[in-house]
Amino acid sequence: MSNINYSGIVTVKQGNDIVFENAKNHFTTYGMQTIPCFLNLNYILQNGGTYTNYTGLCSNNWSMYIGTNTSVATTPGMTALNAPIGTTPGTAPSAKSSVVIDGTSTGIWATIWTGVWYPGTVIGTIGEMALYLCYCNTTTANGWNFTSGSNASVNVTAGMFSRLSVADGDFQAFAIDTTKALSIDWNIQLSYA
Amino acid sequence: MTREFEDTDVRIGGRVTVQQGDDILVDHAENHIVNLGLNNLMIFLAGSRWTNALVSNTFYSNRYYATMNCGSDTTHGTTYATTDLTNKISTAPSIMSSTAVNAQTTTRWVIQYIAMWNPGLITSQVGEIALYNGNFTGPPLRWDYVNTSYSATLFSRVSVADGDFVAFTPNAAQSLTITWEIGVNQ
Repeated sequence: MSNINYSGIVTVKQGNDIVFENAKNHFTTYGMQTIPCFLNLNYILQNGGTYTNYTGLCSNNWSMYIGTNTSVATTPGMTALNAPIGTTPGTAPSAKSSVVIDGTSTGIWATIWTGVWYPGTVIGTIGEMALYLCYCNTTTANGWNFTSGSNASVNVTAGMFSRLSVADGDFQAFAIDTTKALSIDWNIQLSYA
Repeated sequence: MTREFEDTDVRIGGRVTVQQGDDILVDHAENHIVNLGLNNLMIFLAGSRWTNALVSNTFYSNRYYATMNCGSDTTHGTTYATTDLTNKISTAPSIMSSTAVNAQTTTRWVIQYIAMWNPGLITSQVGEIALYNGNFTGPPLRWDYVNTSYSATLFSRVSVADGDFVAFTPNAAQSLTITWEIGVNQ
């Protein structure tokens, strides 16, 4: 139990049909750097605007996006899909939800973010997809500051946390069936290795 | 429960080095991160917002409360559910510091925690060492994590019982320094 395994697993469905399941994601710099930067935080400061006593965490303003690119593999420094469907960063899901699994008894902690696009809201052939979470990249400062606005939580920025792509060999490109809902379950786990 | 690493996975690990004067007593022993540490990380990933019930606009956590302690136990190995040292020596470090996150490569980051005890402060045998952190505690939630109190809880441990190092008794004439590296890499 010396190391911790930090991984992401993705399953895609159209209606009740599974397009692919349990493909492993590729964390970007945002996704990897967030862990040590969070540990390094002294404080989060809600600084400015009307005082409120709360601020955002990673799942504030989270989203998922899909794209058509099939030739550009994921690199750590990548910050957006190569060819998103819809206006950059892409067309957000019609509905979003998440569940959290407490790993106290199993040794596997997980959060599953689910994005659903209603039938006909996105069109094209999917070659890449991304999970966007609020990220932490403050490597040198003591704190994580939100500097404007009356509600600190709305000032958190979401970025591309991890990506899955045809170019990485993660799945085969598939055309969206516009008569069915498209759903993506993105499961990020922390577990003992 | 354990799983094998795959190429796309990221590893989170830690290594501990103990020095007495110029002598290295423990050299890069691999640590054991416990449930409290993993839970802390998952609360951060899963949560949407963090409410501070202490009525302040400053939300202290994690590194702010980071500290280390030594203990004397040599027989109890670390389990996922371990929440503290078995026989803690309560003397806090004379100096406790940590470095900024060091980006060693595009896929490896390291934080270094350093604790130093002045000569003579710890004189009994050391068989276990702990890194404490300002962990978020309680079950991970997808919405509102509410802070009602602040404290340091166990993040990781090394011990003689786990085979991580050989028990030693500090020389009262020399300072004792422990360097704890937490690394995240692909």
